Amino acid sequence: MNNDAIYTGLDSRQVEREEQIVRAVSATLSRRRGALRLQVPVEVERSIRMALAEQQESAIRPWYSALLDMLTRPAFQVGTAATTLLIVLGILYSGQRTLSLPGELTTAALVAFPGVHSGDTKLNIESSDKGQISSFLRDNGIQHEIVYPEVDVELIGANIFLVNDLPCAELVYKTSGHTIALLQVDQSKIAVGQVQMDPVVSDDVQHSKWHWAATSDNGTLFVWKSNNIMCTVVSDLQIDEVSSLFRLETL
Amino acid sequence: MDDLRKEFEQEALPHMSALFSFAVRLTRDRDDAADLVQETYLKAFRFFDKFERGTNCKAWLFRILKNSYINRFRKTSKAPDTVEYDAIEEFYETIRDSSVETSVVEEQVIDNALDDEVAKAIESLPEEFRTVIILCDIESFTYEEIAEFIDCPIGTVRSRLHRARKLLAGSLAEYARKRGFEIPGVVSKPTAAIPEGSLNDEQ
Repeated sequence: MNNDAIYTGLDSRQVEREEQIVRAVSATLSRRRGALRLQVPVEVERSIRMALAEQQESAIRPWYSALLDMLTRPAFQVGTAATTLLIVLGILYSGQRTLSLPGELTTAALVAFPGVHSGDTKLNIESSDKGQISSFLRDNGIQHEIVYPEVDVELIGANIFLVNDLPCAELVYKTSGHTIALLQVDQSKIAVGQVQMDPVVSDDVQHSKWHWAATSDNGTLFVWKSNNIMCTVVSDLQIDEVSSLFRLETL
Repeated sequence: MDDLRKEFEQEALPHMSALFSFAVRLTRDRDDAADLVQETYLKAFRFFDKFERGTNCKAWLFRILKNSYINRFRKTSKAPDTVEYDAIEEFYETIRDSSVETSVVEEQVIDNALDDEVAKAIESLPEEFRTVIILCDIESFTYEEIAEFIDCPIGTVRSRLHRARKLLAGSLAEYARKRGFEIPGVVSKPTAAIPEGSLNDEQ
């Protein structure tokens, strides 16, 4: 249908007026695009990012699952099996040391947490000595000062994860079988976009100092900034339990 | 695989807000919309290697979302809302006749409408009209992209868009009158009064 068909039965003056109205509607909508677009709720965006990360993991998994299947075949020679097993373990071990997480900080922390909590992700360093942990992290590419918040739980070690290729430190605490994992990123890396941060969380942190979120599957999320270090805590504890362990006034 | 995910995050994730807004207006339910957007992204990621680099990623994502939406409706035996075209046409002609002498006033009404009223007016449009106006005026898709999206000729896109804008103008005039704004000669009625049925094509 062309414009002539749209304006069938109208004289030129009527056509002009009608065009003014539709142009006004179009201009109004275009101008108000930002206001008319709904913001994605932070939990929805996080859920999507996590689902993507999980989908990526499951896409990788069949590769070594197939190798493990092969190892279990009776016809497979024992010597060959042992060699292959060593290679596979080596790959998995090195993969764990540089486990790559989604590029958005809170999503990365939530994705990393289940493995840390279950023990499937082995700690890169097991120690409660802050000096020893800091030294290890520095030797492995962490350039900023590590934040050790005052918290009433035992520090058991640390991990290094890659977030958008940037090595990021994660401190791991335990209490009565519960886990608290604290992923840290230098604020300057977020500012230049090397690590992304959900703008809603970022605003919360800037304006209210803390951002809290209870997520149904992967745990409680708690974000704050300390000395230009963005700190992201994930725990299987509830919000009130986490807040009682951290001395919020000292953060 | 990491590089692919990074590329996907850079190309596809910035359109999440546009997809979510469209999904909410399509499903009229925020939870359904969130599920639909998540499903869209998971499918898009799975088939990202098939995405032709350099083409419009946003349009590609919208097509996946639309297909997911249609599949969901089929599975749940719920048909999307459609409209009886004759009834729309009648209403449209009413607005057309009454607004001829007052286009300047209507322009002011449209310009001064509250964001909330504009959003409500869009939501009250029948789906076929809502879709084209969102895709064109809010999401800036070309007529060709919209035609591909709704699987109709470009002429249909043009006519639906024209009528959608007219219907929207009528709704905004109605809101303005409720707020006490005098619009001489304008007879508009809420689009909610439009009966829903099956759409006859307006070719």
